[in-house]
Amino acid sequence: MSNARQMAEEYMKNFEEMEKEARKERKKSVKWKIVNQRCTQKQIDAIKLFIEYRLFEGAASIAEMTVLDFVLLLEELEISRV
Amino acid sequence: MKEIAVLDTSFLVNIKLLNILKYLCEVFNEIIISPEVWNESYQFHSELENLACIKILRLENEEIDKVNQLHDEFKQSYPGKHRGEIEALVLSQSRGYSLVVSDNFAPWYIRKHHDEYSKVNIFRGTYFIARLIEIGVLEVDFTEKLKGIYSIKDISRIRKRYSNHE
Repeated sequence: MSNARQMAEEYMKNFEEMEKEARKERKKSVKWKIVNQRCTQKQIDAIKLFIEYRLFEGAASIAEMTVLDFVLLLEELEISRV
Repeated sequence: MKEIAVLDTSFLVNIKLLNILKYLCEVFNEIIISPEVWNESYQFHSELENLACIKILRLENEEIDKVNQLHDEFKQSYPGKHRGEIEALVLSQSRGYSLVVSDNFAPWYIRKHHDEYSKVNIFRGTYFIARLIEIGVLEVDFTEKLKGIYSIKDISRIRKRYSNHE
């Protein structure tokens, strides 16, 4: 088995633990003051969903943006996608 | 060994922004894109159309029924539209292909509640990047660009495993 495949399988086996850590990192990266100043209410709701569950498509649809534009917004706001 | 994989929009967007979308066919023999994922990726269709291994696959009626059922179920707990990733998961399960996603929460949730999806191989973007390092397309130093996209732990693991790779 390749190293890449082995790493991927380990990740899915430990998904809950890995996701818990990732969520902490996402939460820590959000500067809510800047988000509240720059974003619409729909974008704020979308960011909240994204921070909790990393649901890219779900969050983008709430923000009424494409996935690409939503990810660019996250990059601009320096929000972690971990 | 190359393989066949179904991809979701978030994975495509993340690798597009890393400028490594062009390497998809180096890792996969064939890339399957569902109709919804194709629609969601319209801003970079020209880049995708340049890839010889991409195939847009129409879902069978039975697969559409499964997508509708799972989407309705998932939406009850998690707001928003999730059709692209669910189409990708259903296609992976019914056709026996691997699934590569950035949105692995939904596939993980569905696998947890529906046994028939438990055998789907689910990979994240880190798998694709690790494979590109394995086959010599990318250098290990590329992992520097992954900060803020993948966890420090994931990045360190890739660096550790491949730092002596030839």
